[in-house]
Amino acid sequence: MSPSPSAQGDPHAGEAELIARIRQRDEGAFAELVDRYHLQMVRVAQSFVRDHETAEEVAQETWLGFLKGLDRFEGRSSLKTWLFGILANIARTRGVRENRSVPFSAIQGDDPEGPTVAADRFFPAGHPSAGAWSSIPDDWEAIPEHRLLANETRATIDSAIAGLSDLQRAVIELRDIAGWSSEEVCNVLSISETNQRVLLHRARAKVRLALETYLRASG
Amino acid sequence: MRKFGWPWKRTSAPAASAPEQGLTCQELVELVTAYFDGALTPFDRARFDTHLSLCDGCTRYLAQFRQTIQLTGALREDDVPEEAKERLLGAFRGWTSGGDATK
Ligand SMILES: [Zn+2]
Repeated sequence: MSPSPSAQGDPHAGEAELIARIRQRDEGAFAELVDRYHLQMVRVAQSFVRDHETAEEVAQETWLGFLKGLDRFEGRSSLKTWLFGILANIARTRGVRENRSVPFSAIQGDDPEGPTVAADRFFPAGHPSAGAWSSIPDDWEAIPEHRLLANETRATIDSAIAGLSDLQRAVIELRDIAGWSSEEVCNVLSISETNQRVLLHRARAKVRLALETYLRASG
Repeated sequence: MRKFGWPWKRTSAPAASAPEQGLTCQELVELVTAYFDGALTPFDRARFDTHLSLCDGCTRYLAQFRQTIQLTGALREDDVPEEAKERLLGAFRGWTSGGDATK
């Protein structure tokens, strides 16, 4: 992995310079931008179009749109905003996203997917301690770091994320891996703040559950 | 005045009264992301904090959730597949040699 200057501090650092180099037809600068954003673009596209091949096409088409529009880009918005704006437009015209917005509030407990923690982890209704933990969650602080950072732990997280719905996956990857703000995620995916939060919470809870299962089995 | 009932205790066996205005553990776990995002109302945030200060189980759950987020964030992004990258660099070369460089 080549350390990217954007990894620290301002995530947009160096982008003006990259764009200047691309305008001068510097292939290396373009390749760097592709490394930085292409996979995120495919993921976002995937949340609109379902199948991976179409998502890949949407991302490719976005890059062509990017190159064509490059001379018009004035840097008023961040490069990321601009790039993903192009992507979202293309994805939407190709998109088959059904109404996959989430018309419920987990807060009100009417989430059709049910609770994020199995009901049997709590005392049942009618019990004097109804709703309280019937068995306390494990203490992960006590787990040595090398175990948490082991390849198997990573593989566990990977496969949990792979098992999410497209929209859940897009949200958790953009928020927790790519470090986007919730506002950026809402804009590019065209979802409300509440939906975004429900999707993210559900995605994180599934990853947590996968980790718990793995850590217990291997402990 | 609101009365809070707390059935969970740090050490002893569960108390006998059901919570009235307080959050149960089962309710709290659904609010963790909203809590982290600062999206709870002041009232819910206060109930959340109060519960947390009294409940080992939820304190652990919150710590697990935080660790889950950190571990997910430590995942490295995959590399762009060679094939896709080659195709894009090919498009770039087409662009540099094409008639687009008018400005
Ligand atoms: Zn609790």
